[in-house]
Amino acid sequence: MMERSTIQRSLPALAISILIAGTLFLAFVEIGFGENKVDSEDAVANRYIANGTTETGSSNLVTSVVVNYRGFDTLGEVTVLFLAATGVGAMINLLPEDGKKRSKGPKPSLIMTQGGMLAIPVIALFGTYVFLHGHLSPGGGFQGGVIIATAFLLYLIAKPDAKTSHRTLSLSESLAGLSFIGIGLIGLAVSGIFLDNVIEGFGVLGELVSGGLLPLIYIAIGIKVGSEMSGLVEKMRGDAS
Amino acid sequence: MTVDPVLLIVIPLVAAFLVPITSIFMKGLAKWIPLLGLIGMAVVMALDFGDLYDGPVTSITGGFGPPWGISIIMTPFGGLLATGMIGVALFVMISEIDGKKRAHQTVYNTMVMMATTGAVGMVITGDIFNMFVFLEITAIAGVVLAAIPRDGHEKGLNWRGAAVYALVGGVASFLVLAGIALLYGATSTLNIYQIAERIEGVDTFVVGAAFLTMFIGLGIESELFPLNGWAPEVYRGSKWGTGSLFSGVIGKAGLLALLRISFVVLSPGLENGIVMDILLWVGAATYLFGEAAAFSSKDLYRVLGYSSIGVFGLLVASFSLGVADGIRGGTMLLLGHMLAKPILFSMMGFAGRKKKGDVPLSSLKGLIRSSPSAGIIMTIGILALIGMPPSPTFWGKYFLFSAAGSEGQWLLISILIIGTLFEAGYLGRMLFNIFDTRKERKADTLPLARGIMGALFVFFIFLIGFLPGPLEDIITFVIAELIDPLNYISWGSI
Repeated sequence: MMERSTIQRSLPALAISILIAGTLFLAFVEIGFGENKVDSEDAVANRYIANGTTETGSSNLVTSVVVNYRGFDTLGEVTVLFLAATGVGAMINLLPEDGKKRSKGPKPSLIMTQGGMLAIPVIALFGTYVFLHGHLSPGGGFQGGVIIATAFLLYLIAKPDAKTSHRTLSLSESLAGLSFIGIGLIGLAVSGIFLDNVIEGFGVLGELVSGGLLPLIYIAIGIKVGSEMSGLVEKMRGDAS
Repeated sequence: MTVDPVLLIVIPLVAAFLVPITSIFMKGLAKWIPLLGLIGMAVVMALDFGDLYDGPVTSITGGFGPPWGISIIMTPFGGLLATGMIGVALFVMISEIDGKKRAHQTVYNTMVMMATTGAVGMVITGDIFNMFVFLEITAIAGVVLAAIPRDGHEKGLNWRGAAVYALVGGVASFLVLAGIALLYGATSTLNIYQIAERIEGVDTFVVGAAFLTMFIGLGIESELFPLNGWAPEVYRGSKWGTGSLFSGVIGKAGLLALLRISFVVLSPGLENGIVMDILLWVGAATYLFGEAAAFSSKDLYRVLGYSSIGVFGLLVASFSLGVADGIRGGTMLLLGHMLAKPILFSMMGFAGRKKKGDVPLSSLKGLIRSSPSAGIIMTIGILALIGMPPSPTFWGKYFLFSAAGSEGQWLLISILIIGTLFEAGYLGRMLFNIFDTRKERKADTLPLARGIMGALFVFFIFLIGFLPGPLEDIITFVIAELIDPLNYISWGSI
């Protein structure tokens, strides 16, 4: 009996979901995603493709959109991540004491500890490479930061009793966030436009030193995301008993 | 004097990132950093407010003008709303300065500031995806706010409210994002003015689908019937300040986004007037539902929560009448609600602070004797909410009734009257309890900061009630924005 009433209650919800999903599907089919609907120079995407490299100095077009044309959104997304991490941390703090205790897992094997210690520096280096070259090749601050956090996670798995400093993580996270805003304020001070890439011609296009302020922003994001995600992993591991 | 409105976002973000550093080095100071951030926002808003009398205040980011970069178009409507939101957030934060140590105060204050930042961002941005980013900020801060338990309940989290809002808010965000993707796919731009410009060339079915998703997504955020089942769960278990923020800041941002996207962007692409009709009757139904539910609730947090739902319905209905007086009424109702509801939440939170769980009506009993200042402030708040002259709500209802009358909307007028009767019912019960002094009650002093903020909002109620004239210039722009999309289009193409 119980089950039937649950199914009966879910039926209208199911019907509404199917209706919305169906409408969305048909609408997306109708517009023909990716086709030119307006004169090609009026579509923002075409402008980015045509001028992105020269206007922003970044040879990675995605970066020119994410960090320059729509850099304000990226600042917002960094804030979203910050709030989510703060929120999860706060909720873990709100848990009753026994919910915060670190549970004892199996002891890591020799392969785990030794292999992990070999892999961690390589992973961290790769993460750094990804965010340092965000303006040149696929990747960037968010991706690089997450890669670095996986190195931190591996470290905690390999050495479950390792002492970590939450203070350091939280400090580097905050300073990186402030640097992002600080770089944005350089634009506001020089040209009166927040996040304006005031030295976009600096360096040689396609080389490491290029893209003006964009690589600096990606470095800040990389450090911020890396320490934020590491901090989250560290929080979730619980308090030492 | 014009200050770049982008600072309305930048200043609180600096404050937010400063909080963890301050927690490490000066722990006692950390919880007040968000207050500084809010004060910074208030200063920027105060400097820019005068310019709203001449039209929108605009700015660009990233070095590229619209539509290539993200622009900020603070229309007089958005500016007025942002001012109110910052005011409500300051009210919530300053009212709790009483020397008492509270658990989770730093996180709470940070989230109050960030929810407000997100809400302000949603109403001032000129870019539809940027609006979504701010919606996310608001929603995440909202989840954390909903989770933080009331004073004296520190042991438990308000899991129910937080989980329900996280799930429903997640669905809302997804639907809004899907709608934005549709509009981008169909118009090749993310700038709100440019989408509005190009919408008439888009297939009606696509515009309809975009309206459906946006309506459901933003309707959830602005607590419209039948999309508001989550709201009572949030109101019933969280702090009074969280209730004030959901009704005065978070929901209001969803409301403006819904109005702007419906009337400015999508309506010209659809059959004449259908968007307005849908919103009008959904609003009316929400009003009736909210006021009836408030009337039959026992717990004061729920009463005020349902009452806010009712007001959201009333607001949507009056803005959707599509005539100048309806919009004029809606704007006054909006201001009236933003001033009166936080007062009620604050005084109710004070009177019922020792109650575990639900706060029954009887906790207001004899308030006028035990704490005269709280009693008087709350009485004025109640009278202002129902629309006693002179209060902004009085003007709001006056214009709304005359607009509905001149449009011949008799069904709407009957709904308004029935809703107002429900409203009078539960607010009257509150008044009756406040003045019921048959039982002796121990004297109870209202903390100074809470009293000052209450008195300040009472002052604003009287100020706008007696002198609504200076607002008229701003309201003219509000009408221009919502009646004719061409106005927003010309403001947006800076």
